[in-house]
Amino acid sequence: MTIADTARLERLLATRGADPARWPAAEREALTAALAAARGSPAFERAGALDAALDALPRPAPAGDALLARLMTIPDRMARRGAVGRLLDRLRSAMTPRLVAGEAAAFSAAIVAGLWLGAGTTMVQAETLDLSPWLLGAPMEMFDEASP
Amino acid sequence: MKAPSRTGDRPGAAGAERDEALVARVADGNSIAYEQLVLRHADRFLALAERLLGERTEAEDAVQEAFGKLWTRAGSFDPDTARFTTWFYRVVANACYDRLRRRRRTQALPDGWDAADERPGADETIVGRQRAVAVRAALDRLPERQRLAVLLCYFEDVSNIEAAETMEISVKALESLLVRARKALRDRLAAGEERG
Repeated sequence: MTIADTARLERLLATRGADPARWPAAEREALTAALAAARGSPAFERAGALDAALDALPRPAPAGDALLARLMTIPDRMARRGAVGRLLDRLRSAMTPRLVAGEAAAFSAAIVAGLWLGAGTTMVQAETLDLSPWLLGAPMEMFDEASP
Repeated sequence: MKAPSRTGDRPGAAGAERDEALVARVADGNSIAYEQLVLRHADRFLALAERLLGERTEAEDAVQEAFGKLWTRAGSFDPDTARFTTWFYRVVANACYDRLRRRRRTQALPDGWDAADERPGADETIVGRQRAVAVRAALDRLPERQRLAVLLCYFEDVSNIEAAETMEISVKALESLLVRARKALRDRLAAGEERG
């Protein structure tokens, strides 16, 4: 048994457990000798004990008829929901967290930009606004109520 | 409604259409191909969901959501990059992760939720049940990725390569998750035995 075999065996015990049936077929065949030597070692016993504990978990029951019926009718139920429902489904599935975050960032940036531009504009009070230079230069017809 | 009969051909059976070919037909709106995939794989994906969530009703909901996605988004599956089962394990796991996150947001676990059943009983069945409760609790306390790695590789008997593809990580990263998960399980079970 080589050092490389020992290392591979330890890796398998630590990742796939002590039952060679759970190992990749190629590894199982290649490490037959190493496995025989390792049986009874602390690493082998530790892996085997955990396997036994995991095997104590009950196996989930197969899908019942009611669930199978629900799964089988998904196409029909979705067809009944119609085009609007399908569009909503697509939109919902397209709304990834990243997309939503991007939209929120763009919206926030627009608000900040608006506030910044607004803050940079000089506020003018209507009472103090002097329009006389423009009014004096305007044509008289502008003040004629009869003009169209 | 009449109960569906389990007549789905196994993918390896002679003359059986490969999963990937069935998914291509599902993408074209073929409900017969969809039903074949349900009959072939509902049990295995339900088992993964139940082990991930530790609860049957939620597991059934997660599987239903996943098969709904199969029907509406089969076109997003690329048979050149993955096997159907690899892709669909990921879809099911994501549906379960969503539920686990919602559960964490809405409910805090009570103190001692992971303690083994301390009720007395000499019967071996009760001992076995207590052990299963302790293992279930130790599994539930693993980080999500470690738990999925153990469930795929130990219970679903998925190869390291396929499990790594399902989890979108390297084989080396998967093996690292498995080593840490198995060590954590051993430590927690040993600590529980010492307490008991």
